[in-house]
Amino acid sequence: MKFAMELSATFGPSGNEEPVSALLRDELEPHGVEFKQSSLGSLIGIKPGKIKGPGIILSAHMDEVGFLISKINKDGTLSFRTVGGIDSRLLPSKAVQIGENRLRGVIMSPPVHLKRGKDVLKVKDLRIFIGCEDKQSAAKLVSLGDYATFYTVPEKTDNGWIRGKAWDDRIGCFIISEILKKDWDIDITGVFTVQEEVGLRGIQSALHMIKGDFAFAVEGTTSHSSPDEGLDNSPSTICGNGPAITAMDRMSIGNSGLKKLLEEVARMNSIPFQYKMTATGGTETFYLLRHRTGIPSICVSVPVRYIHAPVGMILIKDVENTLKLLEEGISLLQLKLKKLYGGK
Amino acid sequence: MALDIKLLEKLTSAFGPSGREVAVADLVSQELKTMKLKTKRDVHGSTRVTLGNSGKKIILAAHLDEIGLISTYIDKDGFIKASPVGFVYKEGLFGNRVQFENGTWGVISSEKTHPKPEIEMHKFFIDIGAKDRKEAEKLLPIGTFGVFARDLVKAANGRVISKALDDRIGVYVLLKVIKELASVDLKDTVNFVFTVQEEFSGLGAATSAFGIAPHIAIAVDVTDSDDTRENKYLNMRLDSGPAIKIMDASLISHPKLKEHFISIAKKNKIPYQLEVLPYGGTDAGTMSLVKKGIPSIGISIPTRYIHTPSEMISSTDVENTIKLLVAAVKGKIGGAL
Repeated sequence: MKFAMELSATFGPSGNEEPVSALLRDELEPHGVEFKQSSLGSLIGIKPGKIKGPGIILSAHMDEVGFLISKINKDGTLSFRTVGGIDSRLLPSKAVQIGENRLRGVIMSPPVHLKRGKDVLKVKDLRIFIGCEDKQSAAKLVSLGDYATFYTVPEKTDNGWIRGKAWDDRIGCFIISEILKKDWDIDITGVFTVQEEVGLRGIQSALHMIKGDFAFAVEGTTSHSSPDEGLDNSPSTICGNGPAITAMDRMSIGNSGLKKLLEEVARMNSIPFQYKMTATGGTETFYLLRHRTGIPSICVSVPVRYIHAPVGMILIKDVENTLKLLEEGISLLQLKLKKLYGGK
Repeated sequence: MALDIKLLEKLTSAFGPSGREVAVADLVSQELKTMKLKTKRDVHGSTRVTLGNSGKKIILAAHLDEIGLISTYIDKDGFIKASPVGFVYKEGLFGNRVQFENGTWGVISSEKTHPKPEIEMHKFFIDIGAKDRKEAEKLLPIGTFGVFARDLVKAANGRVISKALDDRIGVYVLLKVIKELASVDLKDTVNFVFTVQEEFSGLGAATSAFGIAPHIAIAVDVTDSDDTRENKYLNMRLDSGPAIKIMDASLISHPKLKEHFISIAKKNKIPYQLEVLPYGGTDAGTMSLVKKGIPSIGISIPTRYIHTPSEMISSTDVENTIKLLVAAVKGKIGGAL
């Protein structure tokens, strides 16, 4: 899990994914992965198999939700905009890192005696404090348009969880990396995309550079934050119940053949799994499904508590089971594709 | 040519929400097999047959799928929560029966509180008869697709009421057009495509059009017939013939195709009407955007109560739609541009 934690700690809001891309390259290069990059910055890592053919596509996005500095105020504080969906209720008094130097700051929060009875502050009314008391000194450290993210040091708990930011979707990047490190009979193409959180942008251009017979989008997804008993509404997923298979979300219907294959593989290998219990949100599956004449595709996710937040929590066993489910699924598809390609 | 109720009933009663269209696709393949025609199926399940192999490449599309539901959550008492697959009128959900892909049945209801709760999707549940969550999980795993089941019945004046006339009536029309044209020497290469997921994402139309890369694409689908007592907002009426689509929210039909279909209708004395729909969309809109762009048009069968379990069409409109399409294909659509 060391590499997963490194990925989590890395700075990479939408449009500024280069640090994540560089980390993935360094990690995967010694394992015989061949790289291409799309002009928007998506990283494509192909692990060549013994038998040539389009093979299997695995997609995860490198970007995380974050902030853009929109104004340096007279009092030295910074106004900002969010990049991707962030609930403004989560923001006051959270640590952030800004720009290339990863300058640390804190999103300001009025003290409790002044706050009492006030509504939730909107993003446009929030400021980041970097210790500067006037515009001039702040402007030396920060420029307009600088990116920022939450500043969170990932760490393991004693009971099987990891805390950290950006599990959506660094955990997908981690799982795909682990798969690319292994040797396969067919080509495995990992697509590490940019700008997913601002409208599924990176995948659209990256797809023009790759081929695949089947595809999996590997995601971190919403999970409920307390035990589900007694709930009348859906918790989406439950941490500890294993990888979540998405039958349908707002934009795509998971390929029914791949859904069956994953169910079968899970049962054969006693891998726990769950179905995502909401039909909301959209993933890269949408573009994988409708690329050219169509690629059978489905989304598999790791449940994340407190997604799009300063600290999220995932269970290591969910990550391991997601990896196992995908690896067993790929092994089975590999047999089918070997026949299709007529390889030895 | 009277309406072939037996075939239409087979088509409308088949189970086929977006994403689970296999049963309808199989019916289409079987029907075409009786005409000695072999169908091809793509990775997503869209099914097609091609007639002729000269001139321009044409797509005539109708979609296999219907609107439905997908189960998303089971509460501790064994009641099911669901999300719509495609556009579902929440006002019409109460009391409907749901048939699921695994054979489970249920009824949709909500709590009978006073005053009645506001109509919101999340306030509805499906009762499948299960006593608790454990039993329900066995009967209906999360992510199971369902449809609003309802039989086809005949009404007065050759009108038919059924679920899924959107777009099984389009499928029916294409099957009849194929039958009329199967032994005709065509001047175009006409791909009859039965698409998947029109009600959801237009997936089938997008991938099929990419694969075929036609010169012209035509979608045969239903359109709102706005001729009930109060509604006089739109132009379309039952019994006034096929509607030649001028625009909807997804497409402005290619003007030359529009003129072409109007002239064919006039020449062959087929009644027709013009369709301007300020909302909605069909496979024609999806196909028009594929690759370098494809000149596209919709030919619509006027239908009342679309996207409810009881949609109504008129058989004379169906007959005239078949006539119009047969005349158009025989007359070389490829020459329209």
